[in-house]
Amino acid sequence: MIEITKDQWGNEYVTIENDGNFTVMLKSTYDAQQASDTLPSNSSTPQAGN
Amino acid sequence: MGARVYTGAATPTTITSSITNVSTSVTIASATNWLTSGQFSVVIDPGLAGEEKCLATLSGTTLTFVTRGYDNTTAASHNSGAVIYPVPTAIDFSEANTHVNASSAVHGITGSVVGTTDTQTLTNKDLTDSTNKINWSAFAGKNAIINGGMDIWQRGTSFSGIGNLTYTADRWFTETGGTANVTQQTFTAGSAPVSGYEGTYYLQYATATTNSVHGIDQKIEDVRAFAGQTVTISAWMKATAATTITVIASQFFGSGGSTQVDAGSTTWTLGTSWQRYTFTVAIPSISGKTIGTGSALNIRFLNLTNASFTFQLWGVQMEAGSVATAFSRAGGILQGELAACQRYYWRENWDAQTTYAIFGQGSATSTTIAYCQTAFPVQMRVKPTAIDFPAVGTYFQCLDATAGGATMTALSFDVNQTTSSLGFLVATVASGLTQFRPYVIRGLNSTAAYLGWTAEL
Repeated sequence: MIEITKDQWGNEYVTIENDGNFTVMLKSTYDAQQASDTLPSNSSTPQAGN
Repeated sequence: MGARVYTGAATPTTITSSITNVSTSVTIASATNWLTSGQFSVVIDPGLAGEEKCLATLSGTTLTFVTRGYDNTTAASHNSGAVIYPVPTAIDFSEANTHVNASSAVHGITGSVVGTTDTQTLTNKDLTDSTNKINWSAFAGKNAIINGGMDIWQRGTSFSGIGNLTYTADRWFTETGGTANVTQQTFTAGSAPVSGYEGTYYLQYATATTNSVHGIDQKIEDVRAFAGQTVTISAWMKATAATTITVIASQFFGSGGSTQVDAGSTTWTLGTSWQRYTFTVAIPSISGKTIGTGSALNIRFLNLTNASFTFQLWGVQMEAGSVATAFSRAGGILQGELAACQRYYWRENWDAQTTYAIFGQGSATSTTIAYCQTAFPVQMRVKPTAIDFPAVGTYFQCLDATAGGATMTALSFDVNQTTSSLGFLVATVASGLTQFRPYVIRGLNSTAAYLGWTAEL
């Protein structure tokens, strides 16, 4: 479950639920993580999931 | 080089019987002021054609020869009554000069003499105990890997079916295309792999799904770390069945920075018993690179077999130089290690000791909203970018001084009012708060209530 909210300043936050635990983070941080979350390859020189 | 002894005022005397050039002892007429312990040299018939020096010992008036024809003289026969007395030799002076000039193999050692102001490389020196090793464990900061001893587990001790980029033990996160089970394991007392260092916990990584890279990483803050230097990575590892771990040091230049550089890698073959593995690697210079936000030197322990495996990890260290020294915590003592971890993540009530833990205090701005602050135990790396907590309706309430309040319906934070030292929380309830009245965010009768603040890389 992902929910997006705004604070009094207009900042957007993403709330993520996983097995009953919740994480709230800035939407910009969440978007950056999603963009860089490339899975490592199976080659001998895999790339980090950065 | 045997030591010889002399004394002053040893009176010249004579031998009381004749000796041949192979005689091994003789009696002297008197031994006034002669030494009766240790070896010394004597001269017989000084100034005569048969002058001979001998190395000898004395007991009473019996002189026992150790060496005849000593100091470049020739063993010869001497008549009864020949003059004899102790005398230093050229060998004594020569040995003394050799000793003065020697820089090794003197003073009972076989190696080089250590000078207090000379530039020298020392190996196998014992500064603290009889194990012939320097006790590096006393020094904080040598190890760049935080929580390499797996002491700190703020987020929990068991992580099942977790995917990529999931933090487990503090500072350690997964790198995988599948899912894994990471758990805290406890050393049986006395079974830690390093003698004299009684480790408490180790990390176990087990594949939950296969056909993917699996492993665990730690990012060392700032890609400038060790740039242009040689470092040595070391770790104690084992596996439930033989497998391999590929260790890679990768320079991550951060958001907006240059492309990642893999500095080098090696592959360790793990057995089923604890063994220390080392990897010395030259970290490239960052000259010409662009450094973005959140850059890091990423140390990665990956299994590339795509097969099912379980490995255990403890005592991870990364240090400057080409030698793996004894393991020590990055933060020195346990409290230092905890503080080092809390620079990146802090979880209130992580030890689950308190049923009504306080997570912030402030006041209500309406009947449904309360703003509450909480001070971090150490200044975090940056202003936190996320918080995490269990279900608010089950575990949290907003409470005033009269025990009035309400169960919470939502919890968030205000990035515009949060700093790296002070968190600013926004608690929401359905109704029942009194505007401007002080409130705390409190655990709801459960040790499972927690609140985490993240400033990870």
